[in-house]
Amino acid sequence: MKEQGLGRPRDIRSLAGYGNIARRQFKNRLFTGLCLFLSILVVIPLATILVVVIKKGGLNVLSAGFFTEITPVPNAAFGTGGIANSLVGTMLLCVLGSLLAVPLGIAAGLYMAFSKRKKFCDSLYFFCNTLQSVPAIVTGIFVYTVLVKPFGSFSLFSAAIAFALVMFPIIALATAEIVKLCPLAIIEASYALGASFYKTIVKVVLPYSAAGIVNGFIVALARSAGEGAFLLFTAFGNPFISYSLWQPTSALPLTIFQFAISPYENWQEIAWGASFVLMALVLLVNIVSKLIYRKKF
Amino acid sequence: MGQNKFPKPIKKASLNNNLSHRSYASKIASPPKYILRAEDLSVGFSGKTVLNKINMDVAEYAVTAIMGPSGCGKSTFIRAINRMHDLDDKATVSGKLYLRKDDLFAASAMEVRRRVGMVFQKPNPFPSMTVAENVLAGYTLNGISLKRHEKEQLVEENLQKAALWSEMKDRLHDRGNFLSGGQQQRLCIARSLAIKVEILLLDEPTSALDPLATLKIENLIQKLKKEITILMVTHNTGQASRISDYTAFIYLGELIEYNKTKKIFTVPKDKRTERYLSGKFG
Amino acid sequence: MKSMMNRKRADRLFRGGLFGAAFLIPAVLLGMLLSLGIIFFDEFSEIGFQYFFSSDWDPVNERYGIIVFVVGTFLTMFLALGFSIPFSLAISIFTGEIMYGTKIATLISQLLSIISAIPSVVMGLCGLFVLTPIMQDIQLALGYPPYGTGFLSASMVLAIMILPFSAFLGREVISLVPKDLKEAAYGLGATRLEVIRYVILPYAKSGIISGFMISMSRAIGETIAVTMLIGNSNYFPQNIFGTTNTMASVMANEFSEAGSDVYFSAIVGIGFSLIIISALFSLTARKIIKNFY
Repeated sequence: MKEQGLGRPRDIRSLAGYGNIARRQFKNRLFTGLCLFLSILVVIPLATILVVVIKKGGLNVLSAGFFTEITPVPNAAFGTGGIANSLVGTMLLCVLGSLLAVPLGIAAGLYMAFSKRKKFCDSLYFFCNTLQSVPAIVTGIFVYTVLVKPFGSFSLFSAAIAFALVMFPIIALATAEIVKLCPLAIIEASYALGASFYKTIVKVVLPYSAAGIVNGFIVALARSAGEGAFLLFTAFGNPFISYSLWQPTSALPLTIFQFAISPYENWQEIAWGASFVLMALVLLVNIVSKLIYRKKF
Repeated sequence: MGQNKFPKPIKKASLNNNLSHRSYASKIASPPKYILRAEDLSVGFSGKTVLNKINMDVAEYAVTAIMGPSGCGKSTFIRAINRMHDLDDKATVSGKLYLRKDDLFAASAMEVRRRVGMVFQKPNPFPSMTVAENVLAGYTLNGISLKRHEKEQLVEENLQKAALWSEMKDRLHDRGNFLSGGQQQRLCIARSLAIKVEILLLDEPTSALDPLATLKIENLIQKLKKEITILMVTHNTGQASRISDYTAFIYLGELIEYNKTKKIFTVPKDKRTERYLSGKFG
Repeated sequence: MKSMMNRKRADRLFRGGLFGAAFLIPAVLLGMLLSLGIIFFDEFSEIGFQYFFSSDWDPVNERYGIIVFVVGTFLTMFLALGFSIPFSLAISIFTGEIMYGTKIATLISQLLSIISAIPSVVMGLCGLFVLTPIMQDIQLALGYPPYGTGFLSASMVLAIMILPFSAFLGREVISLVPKDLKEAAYGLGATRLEVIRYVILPYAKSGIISGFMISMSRAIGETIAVTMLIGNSNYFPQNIFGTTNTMASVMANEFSEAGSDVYFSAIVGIGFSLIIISALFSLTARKIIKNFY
């Protein structure tokens, strides 16, 4: 097969390649199969987590009272108590944290994308990336040292600040990335009509990038809401429903963490139920963001 | 092994004497000795025919130019010879292509591509490899390991052939993407020559280059035809008339006319060829 | 004319606002370094230089050395990275090249984004209730004390958590490899595996590496899940199933116990070190990306 009267003499080595073709193609198929196999394997942990959380959290604990009652005392009867205080805390944190982080994050992102001081912006990107990769627990300690310790008490206020600090760099980076995709042509068109920088940003750039920014916001919100580390030193936890800015507050991740590592079985049940609720919330928020994003692009 | 991959070689005599075979014979001054033959070659994308029943022989050790207005299917034709349509799920081919006596559609794509070199419109040296590694890429990519002296020899020999050696000999270990466009394109030619292909396909190799670099590539093509068959696509009729020995004119997926370049440019037989050459369309 | 003046003023105000918000970024970072640094170095004479070199963390006798936690952090990080690399590469290649743009690639990407959205406390909880019993069985079978928790368990859960970050970036950069380069390689007769090995991976290398850098910095900072699974002992792990602590998990565990100022400063110092490590990580990632362009 090798030499079918091919016209010119050929290099021995390049012919050696022909003999290997079957082996090379076999290797190629093996590799493709391996990639498929490893990719599919990802389903296993995901399915396990979903099944376990739904089975232990969704079916056992979910009753009407779960959303309206506060967390039970240790060793209370199964099925009593709920997570109302944690839910309220998480909701308050989400609202307050977003109110702080969204305007600041978007403004910082706009500055990084549109400023003429390129060198400064370059360092801003670096600082923003660093801030984003600072572990949330360190953010918690930072807020503890500047807000909790001087004020003398854990509080919803300090937790909201920490919450916003976790969201802030994520929103800023997402905004900067997405705003840069806005075509120069429509920005120039706006300037050409005599619009100011302010009007151009507000009326042209932000509407164009809205879906992307909302997506960035939701990713940031899901990250912060699912993160429990910084809450340990800021929110601290509260067995009662509290709306006060200056009182310690409870939150879902905090309750799950504290209850899961406790020895009381009824608390562990609550932890599973709270996990189910937290995961459902985070997934819901993610799906909504995907839908928003897909509609636009 | 391999018997099932290749059809039995067609007898040489029957091929060479078979000039009355199919309708193209009337349109073509068939080259005396040909290396590539297309029989009823059709290519379509998602059901839309781009190339319709091409019949043509390509002369050995000569430059054959394929010209036509953009979108006429000329690139599709030479991409089919290199089995590039295999990379596109929507592409369908029918008909036959023979390189010497081997059916190109029956062999494995890798085997075909090893014997048929292809240089693309946009120079595409591998940016992650040095100049020398780019020349040897065909070996690396085919999993063939070479000894050091073989490498050195291959690099020098093929850069010489591609008229790049004098410019490159001190920069062999620089990254390929720092070269000028023309040098990059010649490096791509050297890369194909290095695996000792039997036919070199050039897909508008100079359309991304400046006039000076174009001239160098054209001179190179003239020089190379002594040792290799060249089939090139161009939409520049001037280029076709300058450097090719045979010219084919493809229009709307059909092979309109195929003849010695001199004849096509002086006495075109078909009205459409005449109109194309006088710049009426395309 | 007057409206023109107003508009100019509005513009300047707006630009000032943007600058103010952007300035918050370095300000917060600096604030973190300063506030933690001041508390840490305030008591540094008490803590002493052995803080960075000693593996003895004994708050009762006021001896503070963080080497165990540093080792524990990097050990779990590298182990988790090792577990996730084959999967991450396979998914990147599968969704970015082999099956790029097909339904199955989209499906796998969506599964991954669900994984990335699972809160770390839920990951920890599932690890505690699913993984540790399995690990206990294995430990019993091999004749080790059946703790179930330990740095191995923590690394396995961490590996799942950090997988999406590198896989997503890997998919992006692999799908961005120019088509003409791939065609050139196929044109020379290479199989897909050879094209991936010699053309796609070298081209996408820096992007893939920075994906792993992101994964690594996530692994270093991950707190809750690790705290739940690592076993929380202030010693080097004795064997492959051993328990230890990471820098983040020791903070989560002992922060509320810190009675004395020195103890508190010693814990804050760990946070300070983590900021420095994060900065070094993003600096390295930046260098890698810069070298690429």
